[in-house]
Amino acid sequence: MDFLELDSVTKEFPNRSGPPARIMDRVSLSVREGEFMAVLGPSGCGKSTLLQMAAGLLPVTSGEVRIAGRRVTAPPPEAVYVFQQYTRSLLPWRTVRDNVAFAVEHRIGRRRARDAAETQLGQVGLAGFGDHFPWQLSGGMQQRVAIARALAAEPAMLLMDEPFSAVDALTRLDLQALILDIWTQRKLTVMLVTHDVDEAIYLADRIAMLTQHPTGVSRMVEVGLPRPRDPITTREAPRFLELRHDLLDTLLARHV
Amino acid sequence: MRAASRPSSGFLLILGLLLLWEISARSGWVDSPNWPPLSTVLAALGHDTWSGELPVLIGGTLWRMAAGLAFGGVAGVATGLLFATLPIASRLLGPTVELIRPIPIPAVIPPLVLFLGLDNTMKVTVVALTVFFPVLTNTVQGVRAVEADALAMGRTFGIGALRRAWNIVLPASLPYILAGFRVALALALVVTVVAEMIAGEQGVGHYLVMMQFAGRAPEMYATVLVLAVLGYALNRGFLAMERRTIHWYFALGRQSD
Repeated sequence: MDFLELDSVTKEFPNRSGPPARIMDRVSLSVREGEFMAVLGPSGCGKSTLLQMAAGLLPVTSGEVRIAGRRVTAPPPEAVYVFQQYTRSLLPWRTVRDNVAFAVEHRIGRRRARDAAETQLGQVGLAGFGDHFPWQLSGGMQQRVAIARALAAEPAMLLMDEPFSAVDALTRLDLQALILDIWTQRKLTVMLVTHDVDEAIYLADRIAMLTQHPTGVSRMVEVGLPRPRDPITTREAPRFLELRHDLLDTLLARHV
Repeated sequence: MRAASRPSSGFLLILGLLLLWEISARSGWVDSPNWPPLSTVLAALGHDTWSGELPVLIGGTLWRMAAGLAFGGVAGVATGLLFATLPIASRLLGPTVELIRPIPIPAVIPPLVLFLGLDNTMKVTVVALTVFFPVLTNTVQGVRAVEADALAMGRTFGIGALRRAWNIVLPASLPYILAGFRVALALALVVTVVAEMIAGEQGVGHYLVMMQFAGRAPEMYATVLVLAVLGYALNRGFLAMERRTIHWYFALGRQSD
């Protein structure tokens, strides 16, 4: 069953001189329940715009977004958006615990939200860091806080906007393993936007490749690598290398 | 080490200047009844303090200043939030604000006296007007500087607009708002004293003028000294409060250095 559906979604931005700029033209895409989908494309191809519309953070010009069968007009409770820049989305005046609690304290009250926050911090390997402030932690740990905050809302779906692009390569491997664990344990549906071919193949069940000007889905690729995936051996599998070659070929050809 | 030696050498200079004051008056370099030695001024200060006269006057002045700060500050923050969130409000009211802002505040005291009289109402209003503008400007700037991602974060968790304003917009713009208040605080003391000097029979400002008319130079200088110390103490107190309230902001600043 499809959990997230984008149904001929078109996006135009107003243009000061002349007609509005159509940056996305009738894009249709669906993510199945429990699926891990990566959306792959070069920088500036409208990946984030697509994701924000899926999250109900940005209105569509025409077409429709549906989550769990219902039309999205505002951020739906089932899906949480995880931001690329954790330094901007974490609140520096709140402790790590209160940042995570922020996701739910308006619904369940501050005390229960703090308890929930402690649980989630344990899940992402940050037990004992609740009293720190985000800016006292490394980049990788800050992104873990953002992930814990997303999980605290107990969403069925995560919409992730290049969540690992701002951390170093080793930390990225750690966070990729973490997100795969969480996805498996909680049976989440994930749509993750990235420009990193290796990351897309390593994480996803399917990869949607985007084109630019206007944004559209050019290819839908079935990854077909066995799970659980291993940070070292999966990347050495013939299927991984074959896909990597194929996808990079497409990306570079369009880019030159 | 350097940071520690700098304030102490500055402190020595102040001591030197005060000493020069004492000597210049005692030795007759400056021979005038309007230039009493510092020790005489301090004696007058001690006398006026123990008699309770000066503390009462200072209390009144501070009270008026605080009331003006509160009214003007709340109005400034509220209007700033309105301007930053409702474009139509800033388009409608912006030009009026820009027109009133450049008026030197003491210039509005005479017309205000006609409407509000000589006492507290007029003075608190004048101070509130003084405080309003810097707080307004900084609040607008602060709200505009709030990270779009932080607001979108609030929305993705289904947090309503009012709660977002209180829990995201207000704390995020607090460093700007407090900077506005710091400017406003210094202006507020000046304007309170000026208003007291111009109109009515209240506070330190009025006392200062009275002592000048009466030719009581030691009391006059004592009042000036008190105001200097008061201004300094208010600013230092405010800075300390600011460092506690927005400690995270200073910590972030250190990181990016």
